[in-house]
Amino acid sequence: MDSRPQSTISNPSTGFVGLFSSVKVGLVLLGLLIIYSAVGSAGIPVSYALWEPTTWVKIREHPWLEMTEMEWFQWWPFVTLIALTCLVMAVTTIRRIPLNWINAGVWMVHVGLITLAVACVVYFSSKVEGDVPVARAQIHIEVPGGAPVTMLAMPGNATKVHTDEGDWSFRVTSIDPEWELLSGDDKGERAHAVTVSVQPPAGHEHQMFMRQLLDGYPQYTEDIIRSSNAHQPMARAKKTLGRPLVDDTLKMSLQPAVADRFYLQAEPAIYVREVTGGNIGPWIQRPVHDLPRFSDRVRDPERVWVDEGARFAAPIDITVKPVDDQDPLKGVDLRITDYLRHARLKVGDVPVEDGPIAPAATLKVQIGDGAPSTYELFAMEPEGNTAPADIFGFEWIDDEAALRTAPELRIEVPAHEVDVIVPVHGLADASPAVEFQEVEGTPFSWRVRFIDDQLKIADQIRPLAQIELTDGEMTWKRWAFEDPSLNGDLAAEPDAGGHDRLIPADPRIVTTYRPATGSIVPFVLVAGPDENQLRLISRMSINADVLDVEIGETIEIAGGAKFTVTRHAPRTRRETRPQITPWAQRDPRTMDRASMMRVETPGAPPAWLSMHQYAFDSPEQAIPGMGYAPTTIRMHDGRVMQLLYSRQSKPIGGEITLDGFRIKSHVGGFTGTVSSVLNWISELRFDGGDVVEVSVNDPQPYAGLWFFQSQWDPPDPRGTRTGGIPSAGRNYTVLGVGNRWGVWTMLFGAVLSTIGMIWAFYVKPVLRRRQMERVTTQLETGA
Amino acid sequence: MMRQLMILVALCMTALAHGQEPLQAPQPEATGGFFDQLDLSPFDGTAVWQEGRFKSFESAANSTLNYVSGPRSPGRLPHRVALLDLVLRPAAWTDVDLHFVKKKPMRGHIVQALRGASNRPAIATDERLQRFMETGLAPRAFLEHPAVATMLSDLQQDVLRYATPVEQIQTSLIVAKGDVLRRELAMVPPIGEGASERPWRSLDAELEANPDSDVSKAWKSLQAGWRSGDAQMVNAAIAKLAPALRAVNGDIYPSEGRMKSESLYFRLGGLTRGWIIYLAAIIALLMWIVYGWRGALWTGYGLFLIAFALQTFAVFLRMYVAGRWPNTNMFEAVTTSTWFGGVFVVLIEPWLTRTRLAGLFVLGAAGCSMIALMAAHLDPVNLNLNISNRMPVLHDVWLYIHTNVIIFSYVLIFLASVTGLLYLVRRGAQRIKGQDIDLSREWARAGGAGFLIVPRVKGETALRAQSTTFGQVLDGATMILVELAAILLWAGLAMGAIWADHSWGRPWGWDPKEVFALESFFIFAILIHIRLTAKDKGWWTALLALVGCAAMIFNWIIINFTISGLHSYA
Repeated sequence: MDSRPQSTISNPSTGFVGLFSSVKVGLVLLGLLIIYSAVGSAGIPVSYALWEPTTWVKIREHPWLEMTEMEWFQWWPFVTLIALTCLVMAVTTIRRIPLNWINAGVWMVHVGLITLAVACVVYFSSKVEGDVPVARAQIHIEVPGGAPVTMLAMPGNATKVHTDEGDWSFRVTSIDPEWELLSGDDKGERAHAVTVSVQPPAGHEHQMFMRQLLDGYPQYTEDIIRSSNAHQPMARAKKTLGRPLVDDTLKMSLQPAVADRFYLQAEPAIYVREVTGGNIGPWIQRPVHDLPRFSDRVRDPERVWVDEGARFAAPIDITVKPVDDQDPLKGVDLRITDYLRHARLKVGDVPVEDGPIAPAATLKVQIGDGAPSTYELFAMEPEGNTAPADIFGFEWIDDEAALRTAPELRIEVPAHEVDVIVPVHGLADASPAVEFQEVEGTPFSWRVRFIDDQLKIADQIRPLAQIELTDGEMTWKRWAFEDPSLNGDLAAEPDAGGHDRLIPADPRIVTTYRPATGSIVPFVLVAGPDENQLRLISRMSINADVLDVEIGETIEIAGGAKFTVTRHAPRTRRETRPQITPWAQRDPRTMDRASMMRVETPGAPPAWLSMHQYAFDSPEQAIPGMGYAPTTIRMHDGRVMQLLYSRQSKPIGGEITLDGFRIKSHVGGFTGTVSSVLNWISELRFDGGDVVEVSVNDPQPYAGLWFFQSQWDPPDPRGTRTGGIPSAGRNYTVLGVGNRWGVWTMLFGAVLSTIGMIWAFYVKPVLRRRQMERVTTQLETGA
Repeated sequence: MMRQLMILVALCMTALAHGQEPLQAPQPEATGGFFDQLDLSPFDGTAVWQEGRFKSFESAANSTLNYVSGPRSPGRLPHRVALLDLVLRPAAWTDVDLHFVKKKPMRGHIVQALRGASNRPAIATDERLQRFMETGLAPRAFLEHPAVATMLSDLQQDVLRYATPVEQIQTSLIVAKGDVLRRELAMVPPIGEGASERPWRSLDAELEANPDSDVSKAWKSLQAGWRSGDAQMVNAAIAKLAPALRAVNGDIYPSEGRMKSESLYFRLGGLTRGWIIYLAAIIALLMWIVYGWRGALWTGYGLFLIAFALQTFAVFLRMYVAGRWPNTNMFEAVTTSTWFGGVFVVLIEPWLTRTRLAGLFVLGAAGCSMIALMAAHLDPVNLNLNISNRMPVLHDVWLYIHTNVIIFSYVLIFLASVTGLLYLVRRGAQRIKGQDIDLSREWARAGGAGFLIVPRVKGETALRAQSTTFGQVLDGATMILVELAAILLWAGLAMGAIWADHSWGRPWGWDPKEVFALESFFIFAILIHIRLTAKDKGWWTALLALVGCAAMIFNWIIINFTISGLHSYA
């Protein structure tokens, strides 16, 4: 590494060579590499508070760049800097460092680094990286008269089989990954046990039962049925019926679930398939290029629900072309017009000037110093209300007479020409102190026992009041409805089955039930009859209060509850749009898993697609918690298509099955928490071969790829991912997949450069010392 | 002036070591001085099964209450006493400053919410709030006040800045509940076949299952004694309980010696107070360097060796109780790294005591260890003493190779920055004094190792020659360290790549930690090459040694704590 005088530049080629044999140029390049790497990795600080995450602005995530770390370090400026640095090293070494023992270290360092750089080019340019979920098992079901079906053995997974007799329903109710066999030759062994509830069609000779399947032990398959023993409501069919299976003709078995494709990291795709009749075609993927990675791109803000002041980067227009001959939309290009990094679909309302009355309001509620809650209320579609239905209601009245703060009864006694409307202020079932009230001028008295304003009869809501009537001699109960022709009295004697028996209502007294506005929930917002008029009924006391409401003004009632209606629109239209998550609420660990894209398909309405980690074929083949919600679009020509936004997938080159999933734990065993885990071990079979174990730090090769232990299925006692069914976990594994071309060359380069440094720093001084000693000796001896 | 400055520094550091004490937990009513009369020493050898490992009672109390009171002493009581009191008299702690809120801005938000609340709690006096701002400790009533709960709920929406601090507060409130803490006392070993693979039971579970067992009787007696404030009864119960627990299943019970060692380790606070001795060593060594007092050098050596012996004891004691080499979390990485620095100078210094380099490396190592131990002592939130199991990914032989090589290189980088800093200070002083500087005599011509062994024409190495300027000495020392650090850093990176290749599926992922380690190497590559071109080689060397150290520290602190990555565990 001697610094020698540079030769005089005599022509351009000499100047070029001179430039690239300059140490100073090399130093400048190294400096640029440092700056480039720091900016791409940590970002640029925008505040002195370096310890705050928000201080670090990542340039590569800017809408102009939209790069992952990998992409930033494969971008041409970085590649150019590395190439130039290698060039400088090569030229300088050859031109200015004589190859001898003294300089062998420098040569090794530079050759090693150049080798490493070249190997990195090979490695990163050929790098394929992704992951594949592999389920523990699938359930194969054959019902006589029905087509065979399979579904993954996952808690909560369900399917149906159609037969002429009706539908058979199957649902996985529990899975025990370590079920201990308590009898038989295999006593003491443990097996993966899957219990499926089987609901035969109505009218079938058998009622609902459970079937337990044990992986590896089909001979122990048995059913569990309802028993008449109150202490043990479910019992083994073997003990109750004398045979293990309720229905021999129903074939169910556990089979390996096969995975044959893996999904590439950060390589989006749209999957397309056609639905014809009851048949659903296979997913055909279309790679998506240049999709934004970090910024929200919205062409028209009216398409999304978004907070005020939100800004969007330049809109996109990405054409997604078919690449597969099997594509059902061959010849049709899809267009991605919008991209949202973090959003979810939400139903909301938009005001319309000339539309029908459909009031919508936003209500903010705060109890004391507690956290305020904001609710969206819809008078005409209460199912869309976000407020608890048993506390808040929203009603529209087109007549002032319809404003009833309390339920009412209209009582007619024709014989005495009495026709009165009386309010109901107490319910006898809730408060036995409620007394009978006389109907003046008649011998009748009444009291209301209970009210059910949501009673459903023949799919219709029929508000009901059960009234107790007395004529002074006898007392009886009556079901009273809004339409008195539906009323009926309860007979004094029950029917043969011991149930209440309805008989025609006593015509001497006619009762009509008039439910309170907004039913009897504590708080009801009432719009109308003027379309801008808004009132609040508060039923916190016996006598309900009716309070006028002004938008933005807070109403405080007894008990410290504060209500503020922040928005009211009398005429609205319901719409489903993506709700964009504010930046501060986005967890970076979510990455692109909450992203959405808007896709325009010629001949079909546009659709918003949510990101899916994997393109599962059906809900039965989906892993719980990983999402399965393809978007169905109807083409103008009548065809029905499904679209799904996911990642590109590639064939593995064979089939992988999961034979078992073990957890090696610390002392005391696995407690359900990661801290007790020593290792996760996937027992795999590649193409049905011998079991191969893949665990953390111990990958296995297959078909030119390496498979790594990546994710696992942790216990979920509350069933948050499995529809409320508790899960013991271990129902699937996720393997990292990747190739590693050039790794050994990279290692060679790194080792060579390390040896070179040792030589340059420690061997070279020894050689020089000996050299100097020889010179000194020669001088002294005069040789 | 130098001497006064050093005394001032020492006084400041000592003052820093003492924080303001929180309110004390009230004593049980029956007797005065109940806590003082307690003798919990029989629990020193007792094990608690927690998070998949055995901890001594002292250690378990530390790690559990760490979730509640962070680095503070709950109620000014030792952790093991506080834990039992929280378990047995939870009501006594209602108004005690118990829950630690780490970030000052978060404390400010809480104080603001309480001040603005319509029904401000009576105990939330201005004085109490001020105290909370200073110590970070708040009573449960503060944090569960509706106004504060509302504010925390709102802040939690800000995922990047507040989600974690709010979660920490919520965890603190949950963990400090008596029933939760009772479940944490999993002290009864299982019995029968496969006992080592089964979870331990809590004392309450044992009481319910076997009410007449020795353990249950002792536990009942302990509870009764504690609640009635009868210290004698408690001491007697503990004396019975400890052996009774071991007797349940002595085969799987961890050794008493290990448990006692763990208790001792925590009681000594990991010996992080040793930084004070390192500070004294630094003062003595600086006196040697500035004034050339030989006595100061030997005093420095002596103090350094005492501090290093204590640190060595702490490292190996931790290794014994943890059952592994301590290099898997931030505390271990930092303290073990500096211990490597000590080992390095202990090995090399005997060859240098009669040379111009005498004391220089020791000064660097002492500075490095002092900062690390002081940080661990004063900032136990980020440099947590507690011992936990390793993450599954860390169970690999490369943890020992890659991590130790890297942290050794880091300590060498720090040592190089010390000699670099001394060099720059010296040059600054020369400039202030207006001295002429002969640049050719301000750098070591033979590089690092060459500085040690390559003789000059007269046959004497620059290391020993009296004609060697102090600038050359410092530059040579920097180069010795930089050369070794560069090799180890580069080799460590390559080793990390080998590990990552079979662990994460790719040898290099441009993870921030990888990138900044590479940045440090690039800086040293510049340092080595700039000596070929720059006129003022010594100045550039010293400056770049400092820049390289800054990059390393940035990597260790900012990247670890602020910019998430795959290496978040160390």
